[in-house]
Amino acid sequence: MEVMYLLIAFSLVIASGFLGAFIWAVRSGQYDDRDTPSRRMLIDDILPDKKSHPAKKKKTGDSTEGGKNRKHIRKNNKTRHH
Amino acid sequence: MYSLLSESGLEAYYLLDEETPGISRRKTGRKARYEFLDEPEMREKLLSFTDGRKSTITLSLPQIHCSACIWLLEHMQRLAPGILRSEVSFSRREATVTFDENQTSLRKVVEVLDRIGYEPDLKIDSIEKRTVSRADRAFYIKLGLAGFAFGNIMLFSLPEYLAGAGGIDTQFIHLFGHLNLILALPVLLYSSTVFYRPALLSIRQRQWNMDIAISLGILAMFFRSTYEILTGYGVGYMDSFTMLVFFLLAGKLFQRKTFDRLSFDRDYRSYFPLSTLVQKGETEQAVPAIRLQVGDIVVLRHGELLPADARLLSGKARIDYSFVTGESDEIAVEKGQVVYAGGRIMGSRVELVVTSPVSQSYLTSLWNRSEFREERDDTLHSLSRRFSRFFAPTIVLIAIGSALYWLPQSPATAINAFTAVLIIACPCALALTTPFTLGWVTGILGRNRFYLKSAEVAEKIAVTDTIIFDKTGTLTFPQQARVRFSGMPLSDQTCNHLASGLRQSTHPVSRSILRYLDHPGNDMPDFFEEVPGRGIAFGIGGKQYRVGNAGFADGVSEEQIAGQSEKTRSYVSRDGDCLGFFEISGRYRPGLVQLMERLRRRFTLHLLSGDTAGEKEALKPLFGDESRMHFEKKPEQKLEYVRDLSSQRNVLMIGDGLNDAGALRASTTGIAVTDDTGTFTPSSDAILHTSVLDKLDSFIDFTRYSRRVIKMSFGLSLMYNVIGLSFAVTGTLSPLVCAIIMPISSVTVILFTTAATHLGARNRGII
Repeated sequence: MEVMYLLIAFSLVIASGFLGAFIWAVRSGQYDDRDTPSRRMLIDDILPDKKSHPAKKKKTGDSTEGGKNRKHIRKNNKTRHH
Repeated sequence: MYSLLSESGLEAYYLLDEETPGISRRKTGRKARYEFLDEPEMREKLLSFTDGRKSTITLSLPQIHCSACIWLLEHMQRLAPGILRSEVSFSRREATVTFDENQTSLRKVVEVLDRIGYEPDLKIDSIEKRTVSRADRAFYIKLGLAGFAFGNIMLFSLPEYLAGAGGIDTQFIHLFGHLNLILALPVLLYSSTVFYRPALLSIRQRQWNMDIAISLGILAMFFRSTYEILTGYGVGYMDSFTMLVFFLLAGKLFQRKTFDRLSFDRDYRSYFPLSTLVQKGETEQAVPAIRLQVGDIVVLRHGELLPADARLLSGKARIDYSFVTGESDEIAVEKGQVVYAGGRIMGSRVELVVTSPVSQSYLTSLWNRSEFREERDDTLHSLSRRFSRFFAPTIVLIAIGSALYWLPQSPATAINAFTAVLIIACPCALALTTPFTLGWVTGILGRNRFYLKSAEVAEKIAVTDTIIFDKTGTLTFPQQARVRFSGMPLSDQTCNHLASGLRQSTHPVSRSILRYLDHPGNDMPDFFEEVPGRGIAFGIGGKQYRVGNAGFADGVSEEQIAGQSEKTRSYVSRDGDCLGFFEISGRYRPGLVQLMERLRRRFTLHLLSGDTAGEKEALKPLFGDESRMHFEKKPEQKLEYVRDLSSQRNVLMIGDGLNDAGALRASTTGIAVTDDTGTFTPSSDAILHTSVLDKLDSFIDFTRYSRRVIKMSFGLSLMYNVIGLSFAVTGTLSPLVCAIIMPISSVTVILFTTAATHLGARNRGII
């Protein structure tokens, strides 16, 4: 039965970890606006290529092109946060 | 705008939202002037953060309306150099922009926003810094902490409950007990502070409220459990204690449905523009409105607001005071006359000399009245408050009574019974009733575009017995009736002729068309004839005009008559040819007649208008009694009228303009109506979208019904209390009974109020 003590200690540590994560989330402002992020994530990150026609782009549906663009944006985001 | 987006590679904006591809750029006729944003004083007041190199500002952008807006605004760094980051809060319609001071400036940022169609709403009150509420974050942590403790303590308590006759090892009981104690401590010291504060406040005011009963229960539970654990007597009620706090906090969170993008506490400062153009020598310069001084010469163009009282310098002006005074007609002002703050300039450019600063203008003096300084007590009509006034003392009496009963036999049992009564009577279910019922009511009404400032407002609306209506903008459409012309294009000369003729007529339709034509019409007709109920005929410049119904005007074709609905049409003919027709939508809001008829049966209706008595006859059937219809009331007269009336009755005031602000404040419940929730509404308890004005009686009915639901739910939870108390007074309350009764009663109450409110809403057709 001694193993129970270990298990209880273990469960408490894990639970406290989650509580800590929750408190951190609230404090860092993640609960301040619960509406916008839900809309933001619905918008695709991919920007259409400047020269290609929107209709054309749709037809080709080139995944590598999208991937390239996405990388490009990630880079942008990084520089933006400086 | 498209070219700008295209250059920056942001065409995707147009692909994002096919239904509402942006609202078309408002044509202001001239570029808005933002020079004043370069002034250090302005900048300092507007910026929420700056370290000289990087600055952050939060701007209110009422035009935000779809997901594409978020996308566009959050890619602003591609539109202009120096913008580092922008983040949109959709619910508040705000964007927080961080920019590099070396590359750009506040003014440039605002100009970029203006260029892409998001003109920041810079009003005088935006320079008064808004503090972001940290209280909300603390509340979430309190709730999370209580939930964490509740879950873990339940895990440690279950073995004991489920072990059966043999029980579990005593060493585990010890361990679990002490762990529970440690886990419950932060709940007592931090999470429960939400209840202590109002309880203390209420004790200081020598009143009983629900929080006193809750606090007593909490303290009794915690200290009795601590005693039991430390003495090894039992396991205590820590599970029930944390569960109670968690449920109650969750209920509070549920009740707090806020409508972030709406502002219920606006005054004139959010109506007046932040800056205005001032003549400085040869040039015109944008100056912050609060810095306007007596003697400054302000320059205003068509549609602009005058922020301070001023005297007219240039020839003639027409002023639209409808929002400020309720007068629906424009007022002609001659050179040398005073124009009051809040007036909107119509027509050509005017120059005015300021006679008193913004804070001392005629209109703003209304806000210096005591009604605006006093805090309003929203809980005055709260059922829960009335109920707890007898509930809380009763519980304390029962607790003391049972303690006294047991005291001669065994002091231990006396203490047991005393704490047990406080624990079991702790009004968990009772305290959840109001938050859940009113939380649902607020949500359901919100979905119907009737937004309550707080849940308590629903209870205030429910007790209404008198309704006062404003006229302009509330019963009628704001300003002009909606006029549309269909037919061949009218030349300027024809318009002028028509205006000249219509000017002779006092019929409301003629005046609506006259306003629509917007021509001087200074010619004198050669002859003029008005046929009552049919139309007018006149001759100007050798041409014969007839304006009136289809039978009156000449040469009206079949197809022009076709499709005539309930809207009024006025046909125009010149020298025997029909030019087309003006279609005039009703001045009164649709469904108004039926609404007033329904309301009249149950409420006393009053009319309080700042306008002239011109429409008295038309409105009389709606209100029934002439003695309750009042015209030409100034804002302060409205305030006094409502104040006197609400000292005896529960008055619901419905208005829209600045002139109603005082009356809305003095009433029991003030409701502001608006066509667009993004625009200015005077401070009020609730905001009603005009499209649902005709459902007002259903809404009031629903709030009344919700009070019945609360009463029934009180009965339900009292029943549980009686059952629990029958255990408690004998001094034998096992933690298990407590741990079962509390969640069962709470869950039944939550289910009951949820079902009842939704059923009631469905029966009233508002869900």
